[in-house]
Amino acid sequence: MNEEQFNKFFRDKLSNYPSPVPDDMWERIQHKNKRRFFFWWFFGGILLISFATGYFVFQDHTNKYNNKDHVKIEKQKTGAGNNIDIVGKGNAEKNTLLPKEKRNNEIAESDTSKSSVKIVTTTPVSGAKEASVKSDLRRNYREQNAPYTSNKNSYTTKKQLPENKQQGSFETKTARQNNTPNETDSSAANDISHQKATTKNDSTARITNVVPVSPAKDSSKKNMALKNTGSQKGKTIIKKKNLFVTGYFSPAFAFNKFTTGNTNYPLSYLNRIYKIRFSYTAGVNIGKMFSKRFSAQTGILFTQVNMILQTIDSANFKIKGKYRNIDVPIIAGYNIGHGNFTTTIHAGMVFNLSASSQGSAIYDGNGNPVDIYKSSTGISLYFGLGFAKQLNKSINLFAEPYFIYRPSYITKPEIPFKEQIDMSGISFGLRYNF
Amino acid sequence: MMTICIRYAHDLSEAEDMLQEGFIRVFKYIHQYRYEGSFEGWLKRIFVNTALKILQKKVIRFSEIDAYVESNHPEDSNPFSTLQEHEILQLISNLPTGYRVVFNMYVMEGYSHNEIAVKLGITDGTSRSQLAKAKKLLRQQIQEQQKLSNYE
Repeated sequence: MNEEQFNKFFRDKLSNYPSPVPDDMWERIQHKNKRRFFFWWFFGGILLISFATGYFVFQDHTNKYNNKDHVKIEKQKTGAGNNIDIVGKGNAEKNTLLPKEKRNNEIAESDTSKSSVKIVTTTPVSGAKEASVKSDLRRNYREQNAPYTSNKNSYTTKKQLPENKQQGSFETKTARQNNTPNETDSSAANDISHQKATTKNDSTARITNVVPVSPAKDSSKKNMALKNTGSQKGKTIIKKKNLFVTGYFSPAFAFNKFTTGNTNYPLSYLNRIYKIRFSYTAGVNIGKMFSKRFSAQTGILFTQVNMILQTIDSANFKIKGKYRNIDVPIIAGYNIGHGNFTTTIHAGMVFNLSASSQGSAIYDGNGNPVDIYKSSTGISLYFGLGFAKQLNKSINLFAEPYFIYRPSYITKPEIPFKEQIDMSGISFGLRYNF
Repeated sequence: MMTICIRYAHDLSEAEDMLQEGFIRVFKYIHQYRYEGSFEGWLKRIFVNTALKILQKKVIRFSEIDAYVESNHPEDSNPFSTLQEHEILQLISNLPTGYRVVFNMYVMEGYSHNEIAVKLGITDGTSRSQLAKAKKLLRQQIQEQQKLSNYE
């Protein structure tokens, strides 16, 4: 029988041969279809819940953050019910810590030469309202200067003041630090930095308060404050969403480590049959800036580790193997740069959604390949250092060297050896700021 | 369709997996059928591709040999004539995966070596060598089976 006859024999014999199909095949097809349907709904649900949770968490933090810088000014305006002018001032803070006479002189000079933060009520206020305004002003001062003052608790509440000081006067930091009643009274009455100007009518007052702000350290706050002057009363305060989306791709190096106590699979053998080649990761994240420094982000991360699998048999055959992961990273960031070029330290956890593999170098007793990897590998740790360059108002280009450490074994428990894969690489991507 | 799956599979359970997956794909892509050519041909293509995909997910071992080995089979007294269809299917299933895939694609489906090489990501020479080895092994198995039946 020649080649053609040989081929024809097989074709003729099998072309119309009907093989019996298992009775439950249709049910199995339906069942598998349902499982796939369920998987995609489950996967979509997890994503939706993650994003929704992230959104509400981020939103909550944003409100707190904005409250510090924006809302207090608005509250002050509405609480006093009067126009309040806020003007930046340079070195008034240190003046409050100097002796009274010297301070007076310096303040007198600075009043003409350097601008200062002034909060002036231009309309008469009653005693009760006045106290409310002062209380708000004190709070504002305290919050604005909290990081820069030597003693954050130097101000006291209205209740702690003597009765005659509760209306129409301020207690100064110097007075409280000295803790002397007489000095407190005199300095409070005469303190240029917190002056009270009374009118003929006791129920009305014109209050001039010099609130020190360090312009170099807190220019952004000053700018925000300037936007909220009385002349701009009624304007809506623009709250930044501080949301951003990043997309990235990374060539990566994967390092596999084997642990084995089985003499049939010595380390030298495993290292020879599983050789890792060029790998990569890609992903999309959505994130939020909590403050100028802190951020958090989450998204989807796809990882593929390419391997060369060398079977140790008579054929000595090599085949390409792939190990893929789909993960959800949750990463916190701390920004240590400023301006157009920023550096961000990233750290977080990576939750594995699924793991799959293609190709195997291990065979069972019947000569069939064995899939040695788990379908999920648990939690990994992420460390990265991002360098970002601002391209325009909304877009940043970044590069980020990173390391992903997988503490858990990726092989199934029944496999006679254990394997871990860590990854390192440099992500390149774009970040879009909303 | 089950016969196609058995031809490509190593055993019956693998063949059933292929059939199941094949039908799922048929339902998924049924809207892509353009009524050009026979529906049976379209179905066969789906099942062959499904079988190849499943096998590639695991591993297909193609023994690398340098040169095409022409099978020089002895002239036999047609031991094929007594073979039943299920025995032929069993013989094909017993072939190593690489041999089995190339044999099925070339002999049964009518792909050329070039097409097989492109589809499987192997060289033209590897495809030829796999086919030659598959045929040689099949002949040996058939002859051994014939001898056994003669003894009986």
